[in-house]
Amino acid sequence: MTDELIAVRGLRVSFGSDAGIARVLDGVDLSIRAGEIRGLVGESGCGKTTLARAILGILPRGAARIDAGTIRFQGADLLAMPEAQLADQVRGRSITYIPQDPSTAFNPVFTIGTQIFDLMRFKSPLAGERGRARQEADRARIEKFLRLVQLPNPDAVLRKYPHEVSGGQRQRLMIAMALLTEPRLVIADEPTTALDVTVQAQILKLLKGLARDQGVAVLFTTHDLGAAYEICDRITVMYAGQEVEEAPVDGFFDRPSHPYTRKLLDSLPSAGTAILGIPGEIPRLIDPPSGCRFHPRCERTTEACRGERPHAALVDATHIVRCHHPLHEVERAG
Amino acid sequence: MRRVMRKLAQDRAAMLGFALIVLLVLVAILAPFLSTHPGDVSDFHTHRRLTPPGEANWLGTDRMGADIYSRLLFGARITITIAVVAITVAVLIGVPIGLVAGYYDGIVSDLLMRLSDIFLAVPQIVLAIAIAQTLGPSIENVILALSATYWPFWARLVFAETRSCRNEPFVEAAIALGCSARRVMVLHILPNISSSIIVRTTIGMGGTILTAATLGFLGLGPPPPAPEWGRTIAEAREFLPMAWWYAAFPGLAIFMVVMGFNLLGDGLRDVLDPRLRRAHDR
Repeated sequence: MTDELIAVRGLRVSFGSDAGIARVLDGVDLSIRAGEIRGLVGESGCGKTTLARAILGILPRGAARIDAGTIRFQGADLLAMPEAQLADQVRGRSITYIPQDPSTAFNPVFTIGTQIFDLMRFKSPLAGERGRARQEADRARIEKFLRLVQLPNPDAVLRKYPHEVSGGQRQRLMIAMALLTEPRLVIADEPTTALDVTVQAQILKLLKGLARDQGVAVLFTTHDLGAAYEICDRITVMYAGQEVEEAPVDGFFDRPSHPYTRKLLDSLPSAGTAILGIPGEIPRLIDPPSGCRFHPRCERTTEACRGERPHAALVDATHIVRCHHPLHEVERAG
Repeated sequence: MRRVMRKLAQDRAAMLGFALIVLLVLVAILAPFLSTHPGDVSDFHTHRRLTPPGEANWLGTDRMGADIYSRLLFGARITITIAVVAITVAVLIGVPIGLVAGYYDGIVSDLLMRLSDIFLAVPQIVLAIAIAQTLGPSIENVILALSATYWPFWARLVFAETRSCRNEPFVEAAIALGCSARRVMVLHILPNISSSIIVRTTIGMGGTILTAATLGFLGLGPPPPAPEWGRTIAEAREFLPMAWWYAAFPGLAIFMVVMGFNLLGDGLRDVLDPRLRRAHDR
C-alpha cells in the first residue's frame, strides 16, 4: 500500500511491574490510509489505548518501554524522532488527540477560549505568519470550527470555563480542537464512553462527517462495536496485545473469520436473546499463552495453535486474519 | 478571585488575622511617624532605665532607658523583612524543585525528594541555629538559615500536588497536543496547585516569624542595637518579673503577628481548598 499515512510494524511495548514484565503490545502491525476511519476494537486491557499512546509518543515515562518495532508516519519514523521535534511538529499539529473523558480534559482554571487560543498560538496552520492578520484568521477559523461542531454562539462558549458547559459540548469542543490545526490523523480514544447514549450518536455522526469533509484519518478506539459500525471504514480487532483480524466494516460484520471476532459479535446484546459472553478470562500479559493467544478460550484449538502465532492470511483482498483455523477460507498473504 | 475575597470577608477570624497583618505592615512602614522616640533605636538614656509604662514612655523603657514602644515599631520592619525575604526564597527554591520532582519520574526526582527528606528529618530550629551560628549573627544570615530550612515544606507539598495533578486528563491532553514539559508544568499544573501554595505560604509566614524570633532570642539574630523582638525578650529575662512590660509587649507583638498569619491562613484554606474545611463548617 503506497498511500498509507501511518504504518506500525512489529511494535512491542512492555510495562514493568512488581509482578513482572507485561508485554502489553506484542508485535502489532497496523496501517491506516489517508482519510480512512479505522476502528480499533477489543476487550479492556487488550492494548488499544497503549497503541494509541505509542503513536502519540505519550506512553508513561519510566513504566513503559518500547522493545521493538517502527511507527512510520508520512514516511518519518516517529520512534526515532527527538522528543522536542515530536512535541513541536507532530503532536497537536499533524496528529491530534480526542481524549476519553471530555469532562476532565480541559484545565479547570482557564476559560475554554484561553485554552483554544493557546493551542492555536503554537499549532495554527498559519504558524509562519504573525501579526493581526494571523490573529484574525485564527479567530475566524476557531469560530468556523465551533459552528461546524454545532456549538451555537461561539463567542459565549469561548468565554466560559470548562465546568460551565455540558459534557456533550465539551466533547464537541474537543473534536473542534482536534481538527483546528489541519491534522492528517486524529486519534480518538473511546471518545464517547463518558457520554450519554443519546449524545453518543450525535457526536459520532459529527466526528465522521467532519473527518470526511477535512479528509482526516481517524484511529477510533472503542469497545463498542455498534459505535465502530456507525463510523468506521475498516475495523481492526485486538486481542491480548496483538491484532487478530482486520477487515472493511461490512466484511467484519458479515464474514468474521477469527473465532474471537465471532464471539465478540455474539456477545453483543440484542433484544430477546441471552447475552453469550466469551468463556474464560483475558490472559495475563505477564505470562501470556503460547502460540495464538486466544487458544485457551477457543473451541477450534489444535496443537498448532499452542505452538506458534498464526501468520496473517487473506480472506479476500482487503480482509486479513491471523488464525490457524479461520472460519472462512483463506489464502496465505504474501 | 472576587469570589474568594467575598467569602473571606465573611470569615470573622480570617478578617481579624488580615487586620493584624495590615496593622503590622502599616506599623513597619510608618514607624518613623508613629514612634514617640524615633532615636531610641540606637540611643540610650540611662537615667530613665526600666521605667514602667506611663505618659512619656507608653510601654515603658528597657535596660538602656530606650522607649519600648518605639523600638517595637522599628522591630516590625526587621520581622517583616526577615519573614518576607526568607519565605520568598524558600518558595522560589521549594516550588520548582517540587514541580520538577513531581512531574518527572526517575533518579533526579528521587534525589531531590531524598534531599528534602534529609532537611525535614532534622528539627528546623536546630538546623537554623546551626546555620545561623556558623555564619554569625546578622539579618542576612537569619534569612539564609530560615530559607535553607523551610524550602523542603514547599518542595514536599508541590511534589505531592504535582503527582496527583500530573495524571489529570487535561495534563495528558495538553501533552498529547504537543505542549512542552515546561509549559505543562508552569501553565497547567502550577495554576491548579497554587491555592495550596498560597495557603501554605500564609501559614508558613507565622512559623517563620516565630523561628526568626527564636533565633533572635538565642542571640543569633541581628546584633544590638537592632530592636529585634526576640532579642528584646531575651534581654528582659533578667529583669523579670519586676519589669514585666519589658518582655510582655514584644511577646504580645510576636503573638499577634503569628496569630494573624495563622488565622488568615486558616481562612484562606477554607475558601481555597474545600477538601479541608474546618469541622464547624460541616
